[in-house]
Amino acid sequence: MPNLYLDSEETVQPKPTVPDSTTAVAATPPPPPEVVTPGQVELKANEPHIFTCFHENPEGIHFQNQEADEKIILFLRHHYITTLGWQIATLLLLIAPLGALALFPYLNITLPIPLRYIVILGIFYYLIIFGFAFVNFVIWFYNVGLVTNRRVIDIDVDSINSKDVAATALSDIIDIAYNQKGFQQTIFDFGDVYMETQATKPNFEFLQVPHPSRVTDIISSMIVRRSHR
Amino acid sequence: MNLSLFTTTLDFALLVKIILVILIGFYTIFVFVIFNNIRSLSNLLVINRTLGSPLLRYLSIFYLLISFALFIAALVIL
Repeated sequence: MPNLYLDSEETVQPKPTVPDSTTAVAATPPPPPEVVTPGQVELKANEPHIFTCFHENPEGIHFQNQEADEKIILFLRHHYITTLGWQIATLLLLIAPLGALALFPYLNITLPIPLRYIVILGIFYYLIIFGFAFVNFVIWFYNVGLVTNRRVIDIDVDSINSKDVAATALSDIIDIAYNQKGFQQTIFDFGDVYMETQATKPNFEFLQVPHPSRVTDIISSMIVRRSHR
Repeated sequence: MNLSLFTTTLDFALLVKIILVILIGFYTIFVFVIFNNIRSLSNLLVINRTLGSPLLRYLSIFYLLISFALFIAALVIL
């Protein structure tokens, strides 16, 4: 496992590869350098994908007011399983009109409106469902906890209209704890991480994040390292 | 069951038209609010330059355009 807590100056040098004498004889010519076309997307190896909810040392993530030498150590979101509720609701809402349409002939219901009204109504309905799923996904997507080599940042998006961003220096955290309650959290290994800061500042919490014990370990190790400097 | 028991078919269609246009109009305003908030959130935090925040931003533009197009369609077609 790579050492997470290396300073930016300390970089791990890759081991030099020794050519094998047996394979060197029948060595094939080296492959030509890969040509990157302008339309090709360049992906970094440690770049989190769109559904990532736990990532150590992520690349490709930037936040407002990030300092030049500030490196993100840990990236956290609510566990993906917590999105299951609205995903199921979306699925049910998607198939509900089809079920209703199938039932109409049996119930002998006739709508006294032209077909074009029903088409517009149908499109509107599915647009609302798309909006419901999209807003829920955006709320989940931007509900992020970040641990950098300097501070802890908690971005809470409660609804599409309200966001709450809080940050505290690692040196201000005096206590850290986590809890896992219930069957679901135990099975899928997620829980709440609480960080107690100095009395005048509010406490920080990363709710429903994956691997809470690992998160606690990482943050407490960083706090200990900083206090020993 | 026939819903035209309460009113004539023409009146009912007109009522549906008015309600639909008002609802879609308000919904378009709501989508515009969503679009603005996603824009502000993507300025706050950029996650994954290829498939994360930019994709959501494009989706929000697409969502806004579709809503606006539906509002225009409701005005014209109904």
